[in-house]
Amino acid sequence: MDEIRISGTGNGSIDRRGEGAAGQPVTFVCGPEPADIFCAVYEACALSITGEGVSLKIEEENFQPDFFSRYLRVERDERKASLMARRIRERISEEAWRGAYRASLSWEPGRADAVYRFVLRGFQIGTGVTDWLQDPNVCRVFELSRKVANESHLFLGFTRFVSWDNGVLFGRIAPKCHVLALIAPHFAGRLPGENWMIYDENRKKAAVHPAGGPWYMMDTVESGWEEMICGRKADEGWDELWRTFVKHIAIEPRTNPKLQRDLLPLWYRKNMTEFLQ
Amino acid sequence: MLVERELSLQRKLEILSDAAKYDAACTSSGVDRQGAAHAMGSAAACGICHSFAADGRCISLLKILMTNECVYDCRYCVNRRSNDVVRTAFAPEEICRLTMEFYRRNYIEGLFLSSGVAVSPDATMERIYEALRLLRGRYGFRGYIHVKGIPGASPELIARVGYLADRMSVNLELPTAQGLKSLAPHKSRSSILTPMRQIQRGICEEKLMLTDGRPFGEVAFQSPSISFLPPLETGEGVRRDLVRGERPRFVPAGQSTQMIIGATPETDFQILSVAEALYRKFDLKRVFYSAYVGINDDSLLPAVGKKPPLLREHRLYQADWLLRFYGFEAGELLDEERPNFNVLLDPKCDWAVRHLERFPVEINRADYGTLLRVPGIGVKSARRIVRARRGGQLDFPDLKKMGVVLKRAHYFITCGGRMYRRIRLEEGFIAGCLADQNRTKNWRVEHGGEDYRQLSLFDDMHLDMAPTVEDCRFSLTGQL
Repeated sequence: MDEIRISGTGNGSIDRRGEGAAGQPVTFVCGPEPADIFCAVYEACALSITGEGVSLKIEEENFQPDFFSRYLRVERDERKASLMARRIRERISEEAWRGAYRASLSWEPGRADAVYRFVLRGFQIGTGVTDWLQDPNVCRVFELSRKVANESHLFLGFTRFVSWDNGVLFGRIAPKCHVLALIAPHFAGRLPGENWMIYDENRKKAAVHPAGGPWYMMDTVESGWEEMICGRKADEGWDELWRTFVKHIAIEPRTNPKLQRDLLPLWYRKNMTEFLQ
Repeated sequence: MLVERELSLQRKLEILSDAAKYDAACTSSGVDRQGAAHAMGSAAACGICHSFAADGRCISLLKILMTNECVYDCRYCVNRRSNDVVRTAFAPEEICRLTMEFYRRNYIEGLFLSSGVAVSPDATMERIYEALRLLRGRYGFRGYIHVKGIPGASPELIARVGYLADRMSVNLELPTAQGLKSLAPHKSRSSILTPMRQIQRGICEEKLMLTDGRPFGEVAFQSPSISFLPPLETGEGVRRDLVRGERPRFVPAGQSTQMIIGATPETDFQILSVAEALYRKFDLKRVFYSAYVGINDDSLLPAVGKKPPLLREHRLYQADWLLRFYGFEAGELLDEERPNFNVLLDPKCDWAVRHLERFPVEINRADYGTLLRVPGIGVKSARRIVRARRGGQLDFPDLKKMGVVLKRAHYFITCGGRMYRRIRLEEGFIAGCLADQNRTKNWRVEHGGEDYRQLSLFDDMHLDMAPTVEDCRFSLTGQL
């Protein structure tokens, strides 16, 4: 854990006693992935079990610290993250863990802090915490988790593959939430004998599945990825057949673009075969 | 009838999806099936929508006819014998390739296969069977298959198809026997209800057999005592063609049906009573309502170009939800004196304002069944309320966050003895307020154009989705 030095604050050494509740507010800064977030939750729980004077923040590009808090950057440590996960599952419940995990996949910048406060409530209340929707900390994670679950469910249907000439199925998505880890198991079960990958162009990550094997997550930032996926020949007219079908299955006297937009908002259509020309 | 078999795949798809589009059902729900090695496909009980067509209806399955050739002359149908349209037919191989290639690319959740009656019901069912056998057997397809039972087909064929499909449906077509007689002279009530009954008993028998400790497939293959599912020919050949890697199951996702609304003069009460009877007596999973779209110029039918009765269809779906998930009965919502739905209010609001003696209910005490009857509270929010109030008193802002639609609910509830606002608990007043809220929406449902809405079961209906949906989502995303 490094301290981000800001002029006029702290001396760099971390003395945990007396911080948080009584002393200067502390902000943990962490990366955007669930592993980073649960690592930060681990550190924050170690510092304070009330949550007073402690907050979590996801690192952003133009990060602007204020002068009143002390900032601690949390480096990812898989061991701590999985320890935190186990603690949540054992001491609160599986349902709480699912909620917290999904909330950590949200796009909202406040998700790390929300997860931390939910976990603290969970340790106080125990198993039933997920029912306590009148508690703002619980409700917040409930809302985040619901959004992530809804979006990932939609991407099970809205993801489209193109079949490259070498038989590899390539799907491109641009989700708001980090749904890749939630949808990949579904496709691994459904298409076990295919080589496929799903590329999240917003996060530059891909889920890759070799035929007959398990899927894995890949960082595509520095691997010549864009060149690899560019200019592939694909699809032998099946996309055209699909567009034909979508056009002809609609009943004309019932045409209703507003309803179509409500159920399938425009931003989802960006990578969907039937809406591309 | 000239059937053009040499058309391109593209052209066939145009014709045979056009011919299939009036079927309302496109759900892929009701069965969970994991994927398996050396096969393609899986199924999710909650169903997955893959796209939405320009009419706002979900596209989940590749909905096509095997052929639009038909020996029947049902007056409402676009494929009737007397219509002059291009006739064509898919070869089983073509259906398989379309399904597999679409499925690989995640365009679809599975196949919805229906057909015009070519030659005879048995011959048609036989061809459907051939296509499915090829798809399940040689192509190893494990995705969802919804197939139409053709009225008049032999029980033996229905049983064979039932082992390959996930859902079967036999269309009731029209709500009453008289309607059927006048508009579909070649079909009869009994030719429709017989396969429906057979499928129901087949599903039921399978469940009973399961408690026997023996896998049902074994029983079905060997036991001649099963009356509704005739024993299949034994031998590896047949078994290999069933869903690969699975014990044989008969119509695991249950059966559904559909009725055409507005082609015949039935009242809403009659229609809803028929639906209720179907749910109770035939254990249907779903009854679909299809607003009649004028396609044929016929003296017995509404004129071509007349707007389909969309608001009516919408009200029927709302009421259908109330029957299935909210503990209502058809007789509570409508009766002989009031046989049609209120155009201004949805059925639940309508019921509530006529039963103000039961309201307001106290959110912190009322039981689950009572909460379900409050307009603006759905299955999910009622469950959340019941669970949350164990931890402490609930107030109006909490309810809002849980998904309760306070705009409607607040007339009917109290929190800690307090109402949201001071209002007169009086039928005319509340009905007026609720109708005002709904006016624009109702207008949009009924009228076309850019500014119009129609059936959306998810948020427009004031009702939640089936209660299984969320639970199922939990299990889906629970594979962490």
